[in-house]
Amino acid sequence: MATRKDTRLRFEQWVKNPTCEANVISAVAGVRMDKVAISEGIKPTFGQSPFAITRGNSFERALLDKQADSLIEALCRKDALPSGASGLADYRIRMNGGSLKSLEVALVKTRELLEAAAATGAEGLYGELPAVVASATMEIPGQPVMLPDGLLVIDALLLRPAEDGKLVELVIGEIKTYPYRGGYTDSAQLATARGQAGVYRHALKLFISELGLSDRLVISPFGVIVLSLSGQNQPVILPNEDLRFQDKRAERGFVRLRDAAAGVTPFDPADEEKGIEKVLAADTEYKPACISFCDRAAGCRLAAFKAGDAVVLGEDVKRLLGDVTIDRAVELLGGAAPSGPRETELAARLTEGAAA
Amino acid sequence: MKSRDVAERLRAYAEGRPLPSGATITVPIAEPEDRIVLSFVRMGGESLPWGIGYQLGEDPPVLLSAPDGRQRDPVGDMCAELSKVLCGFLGSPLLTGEAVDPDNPPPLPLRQIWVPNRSHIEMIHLLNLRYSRTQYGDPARSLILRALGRASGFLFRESEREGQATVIDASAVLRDHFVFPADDMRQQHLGFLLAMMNTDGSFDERMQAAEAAEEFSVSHTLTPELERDELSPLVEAFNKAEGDGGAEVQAAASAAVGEIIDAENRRRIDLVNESIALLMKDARQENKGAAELAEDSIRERDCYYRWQETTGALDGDVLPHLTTSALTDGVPASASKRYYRMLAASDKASVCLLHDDPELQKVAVAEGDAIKGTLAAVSRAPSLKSDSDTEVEVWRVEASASLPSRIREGAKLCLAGSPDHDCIVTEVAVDGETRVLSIEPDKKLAGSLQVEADVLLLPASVAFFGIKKGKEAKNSDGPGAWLTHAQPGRPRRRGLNGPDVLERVEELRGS
Amino acid sequence: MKSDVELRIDEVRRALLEAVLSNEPLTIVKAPPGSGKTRLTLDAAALLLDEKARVAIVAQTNSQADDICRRFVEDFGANVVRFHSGTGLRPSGLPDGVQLVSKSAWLPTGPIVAVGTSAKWGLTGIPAARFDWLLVDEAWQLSYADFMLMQKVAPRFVMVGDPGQILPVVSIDASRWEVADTPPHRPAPQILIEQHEQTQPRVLELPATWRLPPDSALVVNEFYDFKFESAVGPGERSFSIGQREGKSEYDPVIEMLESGSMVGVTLPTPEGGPPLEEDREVAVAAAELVRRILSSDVTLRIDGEDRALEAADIGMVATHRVMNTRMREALPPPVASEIMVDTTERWQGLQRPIMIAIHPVSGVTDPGVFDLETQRLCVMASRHQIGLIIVTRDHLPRTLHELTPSATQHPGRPDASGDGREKHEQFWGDLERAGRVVAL
Repeated sequence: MATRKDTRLRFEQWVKNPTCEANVISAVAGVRMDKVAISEGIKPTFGQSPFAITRGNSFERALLDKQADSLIEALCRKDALPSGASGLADYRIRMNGGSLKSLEVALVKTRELLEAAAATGAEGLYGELPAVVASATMEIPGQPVMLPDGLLVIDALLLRPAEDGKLVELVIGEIKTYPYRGGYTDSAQLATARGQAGVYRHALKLFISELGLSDRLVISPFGVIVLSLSGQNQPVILPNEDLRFQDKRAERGFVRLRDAAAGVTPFDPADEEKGIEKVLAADTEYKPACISFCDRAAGCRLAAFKAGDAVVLGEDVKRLLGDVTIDRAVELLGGAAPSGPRETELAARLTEGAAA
Repeated sequence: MKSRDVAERLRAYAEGRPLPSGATITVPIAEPEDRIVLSFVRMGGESLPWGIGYQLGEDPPVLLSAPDGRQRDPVGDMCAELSKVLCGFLGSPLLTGEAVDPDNPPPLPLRQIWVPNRSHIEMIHLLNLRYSRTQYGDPARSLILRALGRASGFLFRESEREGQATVIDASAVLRDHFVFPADDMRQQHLGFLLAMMNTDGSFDERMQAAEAAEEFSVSHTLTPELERDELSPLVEAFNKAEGDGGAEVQAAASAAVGEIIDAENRRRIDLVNESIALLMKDARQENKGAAELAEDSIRERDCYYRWQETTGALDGDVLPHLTTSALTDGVPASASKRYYRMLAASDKASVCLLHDDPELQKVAVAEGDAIKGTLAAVSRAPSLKSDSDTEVEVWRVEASASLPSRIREGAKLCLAGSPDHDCIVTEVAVDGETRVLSIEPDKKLAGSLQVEADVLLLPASVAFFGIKKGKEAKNSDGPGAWLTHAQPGRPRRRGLNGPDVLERVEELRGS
Repeated sequence: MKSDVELRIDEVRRALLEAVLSNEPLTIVKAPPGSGKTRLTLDAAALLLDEKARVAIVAQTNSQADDICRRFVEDFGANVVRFHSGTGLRPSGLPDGVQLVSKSAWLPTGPIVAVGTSAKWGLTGIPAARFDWLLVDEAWQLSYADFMLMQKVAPRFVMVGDPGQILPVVSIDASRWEVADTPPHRPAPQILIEQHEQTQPRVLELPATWRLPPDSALVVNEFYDFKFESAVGPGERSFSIGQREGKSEYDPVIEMLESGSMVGVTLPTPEGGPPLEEDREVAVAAAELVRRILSSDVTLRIDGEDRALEAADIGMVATHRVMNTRMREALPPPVASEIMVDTTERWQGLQRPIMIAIHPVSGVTDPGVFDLETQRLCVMASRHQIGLIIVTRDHLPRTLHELTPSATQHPGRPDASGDGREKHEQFWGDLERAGRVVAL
């Protein structure tokens, strides 16, 4: 399992609850949480809609069809690419509608393209160099044993002239089928897209640095997010999405993820049983948001209930009560004599609150 | 969350059940014949309904579905059915063929659309986006769909206006009126809320029922297992049969899909009906301010939906004159006008319910927006209000300084129960543990209070200013309009209104 | 002889005044805190009055409008009209030379300077004898919607304001306008600058603050997108401790003000996490700092003049009203009424020699967009003329460092959470790196 080079997904899982030891081990070692849940007798509830997966694929295919004409046109209209930009380098693997045999082949081709872009500069644009690279593939270093080297695949990498007119500027493009609704576009969906784009931007910086091309290629601090127009295949381009801080978020996050990986007692990640055992033995830290992404959440919540953990009434309740159990807080609210300064303060706050 | 809210949640936990919050019901509930319960389900990855369920009053629910949520025509047909019902329900004569004078339409009471939760309101917006300008396919059908687009647009925009009583999110209403012993995320689930409310027994029994209810989605999405394990094979069978010319197989697959989708919508509709029933039998009275908000909702509907639809219907227009953008207001003056209207509504909603609900008043005092104290003295002094030198009654109100206060000099307040009589705060001082306010009451209130009387002063409404500003926003005949009202994207002519300076000079040269 | 920085300030002043004399239709001045922006507005008004123009000045609050009138009369000895609401409190305590008018029909004809709030100018009917100029003070406090109402007043505009201040409060969901070209809820000068290709404003930047000492100016400048420095010369400001009784745990904190203008103070975070909503211990610590400062026989030097520190020289600020209430309660009674304790919004435009602030993220273990917005911290950190003590629970640096904020902003908008996190971390980090954080 640790050989799955899905570092980005592990990062996203880890960042959702970095203080939960079980989540950390699962993310770092690639132990699937749905399997852990099954071993506990909990029915996993996550997984994607098959229709959503199909829609995502078909949307992407429609955009990249015919040398990505419709996508490039939309990008030019929004000044994400200069007028006249054209050309698609398609590095998708066969499974995703492309022609390449494997991600490793895509990795080699991406490397070559970046080297060519560095060599020719902006002069090579839209002749030798394409406007869009579909599935540009990069590798970033992991942490020995537990966190493998990561392979990351960018939906659409754009190439355009840098401000100086000489170098090529690379722009991260993230394609999603989320419906564009103007200011009502789902903020969590936007955050997901930006988070992913930020990871890619960070990874691209590392990749280019590894190739020794940092001073010959520019990476735009802004990315492009492609959404769909209300159920159609027509793309909506968000041309200037601020990725600077999401990039840094990824950078800091990866450092902490690697540190977390170093803190996990090594075991053979290919041993599924062992992995499940390790996750089950680890401490958990339940938060209400866990329900939205973790298959074990219902079990953790039940355990929190049994322990009287105030988090089951909400994080703000937990903040006020701290380690005081719900039942004890109810007693204090009812006038029971507090013991110790913590309970004394809590009792005062609750009584004041109840009287307000 | 404040400690007051935490205390309430703990109390609900201690009692083992949800507890009422607030002393009144703050949302008006229309008569059954004036209510539609509406629900959608959609296919994963899509932005239009796969199934629609609606129930008008006490009629049986109508459940519609398409065999494949990606197919434009069946989905369009389904939406067209909804359009015919919804537009007439909201008073549009376009599809009913009624002859209506736009300036004198027959009165229509408050009409409400009840939905299970916020996600269904998002679907209403998606219908607005998709259909308000569609010209796809049969012209007669695209006219009906555009009508749905516009109706949805009105409903979505109205749902954003605070205090509105037209689009009701059942989950939100329950959360507003009850304190639930659960975290905020769980409280988004209507099934969870109702199970906690309606299950007899201990906390554990209620929680068990609520957990069981949580297994079923109430938003417009379906669970991935349902899509994967049950619907996907049927949709595949339907599409394959279409290709293979198997009409019977198609019909069977379509019926099977319909059964599942219909059951999903039926469940959602039933939950909404359960919520309405719960509120109807609640012992708390309807807040008197709610009736005012209901009147505002009627006015909004008649002004911003019905009039436009009625005017458009006069021409039997294929593309009515006014189709408000689903996304934003491109014209600065329109944006401003709508913004002020929303501000005015928000202000009104926040104050008009206060006068009839002592618990809301307590919250306002705790937040510092209202003040509860004692009338320590009554005196007479020259008025400190503008342009008046006459002597007026002045109240000295004393309250505890331990609560925070937002009230400053110049603030306008009103006595609880007298929302139409503004009092102005002329001075605020803190003297040890006492906050002292000097207040010039409305002259109609002079002599109405005795010294040592308890006084509760609530914020006065400033909605009037928002409304006035909204009316002003469209005016662009002033000398600064070249800058303030110019359309973005078009070069603004720098300088004064009037001829170009070069042209002026040429004229001068010529003369 | 004027210093370099004073000469550069004069350049900007000259540029603005020349712009108005040449009838430049739109000039926007970005001004750091304490840079004399109201003075700039008054200068422009006086010059235009001298040119026989009719000038309308827009203030954001009644007290700001009164203050502008007062200063105009005092500085220029010229009459001014205070155009005020007919239904609110009548302005009082204004000098002779200020004429009170509440109806637009009563506005004098001919050259005048008339000062009113944006609400007054926006809602009143303007008579035929309109104005020639509209000068907007604290312009970043004026929403675009309110600015549009000014269309009836005058054809030429000057807008002076501080872009680092707290944005106009938006009490409704403004999602509908987040992708509009002219969002009605955002500050008017910001929109006009963003649309510079169409509006072609003349944009000037004041290069210095008269209020903040040099080390503070460097720190506060990080919140801005233009460069400014301190115009305070060496030796012009200082804080000196005299005789004091006994020892206090707060002494090391107060002593630091003798060597620099910003000090951070941390209190240990309780094991179960910081308290929710109100932190009495922190409020009491802030009040104890005041008590100790007042009993330390402090001499202040402001602009070369020494004097003893008084209670009224100290100001206290916290984001939340409840914290301000607790701080006020904890102050010794004789001085409680002399010390202004209020929210950041109320502190805008004001200053004190010494400020005590509760860090906006103190006690917040999961900061959201609201907590990370930089404007509150910027305002808190820019009220002092001599010294600022900023108090927080010690979880702050760890919380900021471990935070991985999501970018939930509307399409096309800047990442306020990410930017805020970074700026907050830098602000506190600068204090730590300079050895100016004391752990209690």
